Amino acid sequence: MRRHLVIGLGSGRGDDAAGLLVARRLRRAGAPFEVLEHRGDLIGLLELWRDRPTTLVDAAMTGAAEGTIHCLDADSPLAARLAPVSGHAFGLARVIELARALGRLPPSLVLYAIEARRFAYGSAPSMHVRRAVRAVELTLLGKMP
Amino acid sequence: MALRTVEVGYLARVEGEGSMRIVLRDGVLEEARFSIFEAPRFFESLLRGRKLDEAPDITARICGICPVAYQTSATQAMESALGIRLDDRLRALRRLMFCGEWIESHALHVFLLHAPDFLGYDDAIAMARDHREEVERGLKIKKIGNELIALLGGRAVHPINARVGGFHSAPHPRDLAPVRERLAWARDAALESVRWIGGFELPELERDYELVSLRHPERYPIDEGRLVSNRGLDIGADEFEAHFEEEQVPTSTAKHARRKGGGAYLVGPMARYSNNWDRLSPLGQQAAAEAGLGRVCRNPFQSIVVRAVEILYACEEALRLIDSYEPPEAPAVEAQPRAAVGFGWSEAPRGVLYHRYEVDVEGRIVSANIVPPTAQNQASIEEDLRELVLRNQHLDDEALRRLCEKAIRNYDPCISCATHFLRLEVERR
Repeated sequence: MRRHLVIGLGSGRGDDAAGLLVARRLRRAGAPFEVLEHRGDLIGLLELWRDRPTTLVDAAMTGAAEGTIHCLDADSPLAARLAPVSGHAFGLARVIELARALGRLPPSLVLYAIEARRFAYGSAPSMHVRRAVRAVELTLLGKMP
Repeated sequence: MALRTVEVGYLARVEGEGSMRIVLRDGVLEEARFSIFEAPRFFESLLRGRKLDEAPDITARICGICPVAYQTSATQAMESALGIRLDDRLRALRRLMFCGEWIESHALHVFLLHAPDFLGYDDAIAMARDHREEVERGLKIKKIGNELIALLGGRAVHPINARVGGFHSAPHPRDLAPVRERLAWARDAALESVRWIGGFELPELERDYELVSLRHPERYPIDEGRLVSNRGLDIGADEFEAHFEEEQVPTSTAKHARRKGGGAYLVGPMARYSNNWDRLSPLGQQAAAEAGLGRVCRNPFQSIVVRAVEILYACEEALRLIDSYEPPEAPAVEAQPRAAVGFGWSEAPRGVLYHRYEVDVEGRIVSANIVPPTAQNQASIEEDLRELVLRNQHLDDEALRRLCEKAIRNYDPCISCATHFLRLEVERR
């Protein structure tokens, strides 16, 4: 089994930085698995994860309370659960389903999605999201070898 | 692993949505409306008061798919305001980065967004199960376009290395060698793709568009040229607003552009190709002919074939530019601000992108005007829809919806263009 990979997704816009912040905290904590940050074109994920067990961390909006942590795995199709809202580029759910169709899913794929609310340029993540970032970090450090 | 089923309404990084409404009353078309309801973004207003050298990076944020076009139009407008012109080496470098954008943007649209329409699939995911080889090829071509942008621009999306006057840094020739090798593969793959796409069955529709694009004395237009049309237009960037106007329409948060004293017109690959067939490479011309294209295209559904030809051309052109690359003496030309008005344009993958800025003596932006291709094509999109619906009203609602969605995607409109971006209402009274 190849080394586990964690990829933080997002941008610097407020709560949307959640995935990136988790990745940075994991690196600072000396996580015993590889940690990457990824911004922009999500199709690039297919090249990043290749055949490694992978965990993705991103921000999401479901209507749940801010900072709620959702955990999904990609054993079954995600498209129905992750509405296709990404615009011109392929959204995360569609990239995962495209990978499934092409036979390029990693051996395991888990997504942690942190409920976000604020996406303004230059704004900091909310207190609820920062707490969730810390919780996801601890979960991943505790779960993975 | 236990699965927690969670309804995730949507992930972050939303890009906007469009809708369409068709009303038929007793077989008479009352309305065929393509609406954009993405919230206004006010970029022209927020540019006011900013320094002129901020415009390329700010306007690049308008689009994650064609930021190089925004940077190019903005830098060229500012350079015209400053009275500077880049030498051949710097302009070649700019054109090379732009080739990367054409490759990645067209590959995304052709392989993942539009091809499923022609092969009878709901989306690229369904198509990938039966056409894995072609989808993998498209993804690989796209990746090479992204790599080229990242190499010259510092990153693939919203590159950071372009600036007014040139670049912050220029690559060493040896830096280009790895991507050259991959571009050679992409050129061959693009040629194969033109043949594949040339085999698609295209719906019948011929329209008498005014085809508007840049035209360069020597090269197929990407980063510079005069604006021409098949109806005699031939203008410089400083004349654009004398010939074109934008208007607000109640059903769209994007403005509609029209020819002054005229009407709708078409920008984008089909206009570029039709006005510049003689500027294509011999291989591009040959591939186009083999794929069934004449020297002029008037069927909007041919746009997917033209995009495939343009991917091929962009790969060839990038290879030519790399092979002749000599590092510039300095990565940028410096200039002192002055009060002036500057005009710039380029051929974004979706068509002509015009920028105009007024700057003051301290180099601060007083006013800005940006006219993107999608605003210019909205009126043509609606005219295509009217024609299509009138010809195809015998189809049931589902078939008509599919046909109209396919027609809108001919334009690769730069709003939310995921496969299911469109909500269609058909009213038959």
